[in-house]
Parts: sequence; structure tokens; C-alpha cells
Amino acid sequence: MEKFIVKSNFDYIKAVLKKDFILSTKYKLQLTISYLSVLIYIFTIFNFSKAVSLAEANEANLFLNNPFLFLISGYMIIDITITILNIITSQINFYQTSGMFEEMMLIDNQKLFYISSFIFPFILWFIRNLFYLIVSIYFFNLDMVILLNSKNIIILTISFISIILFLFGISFLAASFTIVFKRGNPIIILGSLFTTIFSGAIYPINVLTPNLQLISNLIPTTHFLNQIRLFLSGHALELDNAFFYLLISSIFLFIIGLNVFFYSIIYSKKTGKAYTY
Amino acid sequence: MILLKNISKSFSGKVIFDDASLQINLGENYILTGPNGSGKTTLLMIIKNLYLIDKGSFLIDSNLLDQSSISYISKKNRSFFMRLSVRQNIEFFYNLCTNKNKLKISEVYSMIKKFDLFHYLDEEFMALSSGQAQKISIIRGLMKNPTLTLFDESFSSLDASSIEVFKQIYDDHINKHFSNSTIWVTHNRSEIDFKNKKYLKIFNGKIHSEE
Repeated sequence: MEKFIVKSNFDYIKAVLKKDFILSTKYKLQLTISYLSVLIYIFTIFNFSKAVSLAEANEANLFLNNPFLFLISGYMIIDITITILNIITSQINFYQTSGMFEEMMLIDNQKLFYISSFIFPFILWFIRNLFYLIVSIYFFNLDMVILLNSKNIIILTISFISIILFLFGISFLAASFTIVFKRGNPIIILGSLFTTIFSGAIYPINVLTPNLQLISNLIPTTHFLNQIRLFLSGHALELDNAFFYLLISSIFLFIIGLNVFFYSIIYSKKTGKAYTY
Repeated sequence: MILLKNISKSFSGKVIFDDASLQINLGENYILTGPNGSGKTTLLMIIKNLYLIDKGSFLIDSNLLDQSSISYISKKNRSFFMRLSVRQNIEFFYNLCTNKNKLKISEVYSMIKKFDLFHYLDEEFMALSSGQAQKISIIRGLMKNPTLTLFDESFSSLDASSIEVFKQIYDDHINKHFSNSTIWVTHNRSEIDFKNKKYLKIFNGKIHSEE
């Protein structure tokens, strides 16, 4: 009898293990990226320590001049990237798993519905990050100098709107992936990792090899981070190539993301995949 | 009028419709039957633009009808925000409805009262039984004051007296215009008691008219 119970429990555990293994192999890309992320985190830590150990203090180096401000601003960018990238995807996941997706597809004016879904998480991010800054300034003596003139404010506002549009675009791309493939979203993981390792959020991009710096310069976040750090360090912002690259590439990616998202809905209506999970 | 002409639709190689045609005239009520898996729900979802056809044409007379004036009421009665109250769910879906002819919110609450659910308004949606949730689902579908309503086994959790209440609600609030139409997917023809009834049956990928 005891032997039977042991065998029965073993079969039970084996069945659960088999189910989890088969499901994980259905999402190979997710599995691979989760293992690759180990390398990427080590790479990040290595570069951070490399930046800290840079002996020659350079006046233009925002990291060495004020590492606290550098890291706080970098963290805020990683935070907003992860927040926005997850918004639509997590909502679609929720609608799909709760059996509501069909009903949400019946809602009139889908574009407005999904765009307005960004507002609340964005407000939460804003309040949370304002809190970071206040705590950093008043309790940890964050050294911040702001040059408040109309040129700086206009450039920073346009840059901020641009980076939000860029992140919305990537978020829509990630949501498209979820609609078509249901689970396992490499776009969110890659988006977060690229921001962490290539945008200069944790360490200055000049510690990277020249080839990797090319990748960094392709990411709009790199340019926005540079501007916000200059702004918070009392520098004057310029209408330079980086500003225009940030503006144009962000609008381009937003349009691409939005269109891919609505194309993925059309695709799922054709295949019937939209309403099953 | 809606015209489906020579439509084909298949999912993962399984043919649902093969060169099927159908004309829906406004002012008429259609009862749609067919064996399990024949494509009854698929047909409603094509009409509501939730599925796209592979071949053929799907035409809507835009002078009389558009997608915002078509309601699809499915048998899924849990497609609500469970942690919001009934009132919050109703208001959410009401505010997102853009149909210019939608009912006044007071009429929506009047329907809730007729279904004897008024005292549940501030309860979390998860507190409702299947039948109560189905009634709210029906009200959500009717609140846009649809010209064409697609009922997909929408009465599966309703008792006989609730179906009678529904008929009263439909006549009082929705069925005021000669062009109002319905399509009913059902396995029980007797529960549908409407004038101008026509019977449709899906069989072998085709849609047949029946007497």
C-alpha cells in the first residue's frame, strides 16, 4: 500500500514536471533569452566597475563628476522603460487569461482605448520618480543644478515627449508579440536589457568598445539620458544632431509600433488566435 | 442590410465555411441552428468583425448600419472586471460606447432594475451568480441601442422568468424601430418568441434557409 502511494505521488510529480517542461519548450525564445540575460547582467556589472575604476577625472564626464545623479537618472530611465514596455502587454495578457479579450475587441475606438491605457501607469511612474528625486535631494544631498531658461525647457519637453513616443512604439511591438504568440515576450526583455547595457543608464557609454558605442548611439534613450543629465547638471541644452535623431527616430518607431500592433490584431482575427490563450 | 457572398473561412486547415452566402435584412429576426462546431459562433463573430473571412465578400449597407450599431452578446458571462463593482463595470463599458444612439444611463439602470439586480450595483462583480452575470452581459450589449443584436446562446444561464423579463426589456428599450433585427444562436428554438422570424441552419460549411 505504502509503495503504491509513493509511486502514485511520483507519477503525480512527474506529470506536473512533464507539463511544465513541454510548455517551456513551446516558448524556446523566452527560455534562451532568460539564460542569455545572465551574460548581459555580468557584462553590466563589469562595465560599471570599469567606469568606477577610471582614474582620469574628466570635467565633461557626468559619471565621475556626480555618480549619484548619474545613477539616479539612469535608474529612472530603466524604470520608465520597464513600466511603459509592460503596459499594453500586461493588459492584453490579463484580458486573454480572464477571457475578456473578445469583449475588449468589441470596444469602439480601439486606438484611443489602448493609447489612453498608458496614462495611469505613466502618472504612477511620474509620482514615484518625483518621490525618488525629493528623497534623494532632501535626505541624501543629491547635488543638482538646473538651468531654467525657455530654450532648455522647450528642448527637454520635446525630448521627453519623444522618448515617451519611442517607448510607446516598443510597447506596441511587444503587445503585438503577445497577441500573436501569447506568452514569452523577448521584446520586453530585450528592450529592458538594451536600455540597461547600451543606453548609459548604469555607466557611461565611453567604457564600451567603439563597436558597441555605435549600438548605443542608435538607441534614442542614450540621447535622452544625456540631455536629462546635462539639464540636471546645470548645462545648456543644444538643438544638435542627437536631439533631432531622438525626435525623428522616436516618431518613426511610434508609428511602426502602432501599425504593427493593429496589423497583429488583423492577423489574429484572420487566424482566430486572438481569443484563445 | 448585410450581405455575405461566397465566403470561406477555415481555422488551422479545418473548413468552417466553404463558399457560403447569406443576406440579413433589417427588421427581421433570424434563428441560427446547427450541430456543435458547425460555425454558428464563427458566423456571428464574422458579422461583428471579430473574425475576418478568408475569401468572398462581406458587405454592410453603411447608410443603415455600421459596426458601432451591432451588438454581440456572447455566452461568456465572466467577461467583466471581477474586482470592480457592477456599477463600475456598467459605467466603464457605457462610457466607452461611441454609438450616438446609445441609451441614456438612466435607461440602463432601469433595465438593471427590471432584471432585479439594482441592489447588486455596488457589489463586486465576482459576487454575482452565472445567471446574474449573464443578465449584466445582456444589458451591456443592449446599452448601445443596437440596430442589429447578435445573441450567442445568451440565455444559457437564464431561467424562464428572466427570459420573459428580457423580452419585456427588449421591447421597452430597443425594439422601437422597424429596422431592429436580431440573430440568435440557440439550441432551443422555443425560447425565441419574436415576430418576423426566419430560420437558418449551418451545415457542411453552408448556410441554409429553413421554414
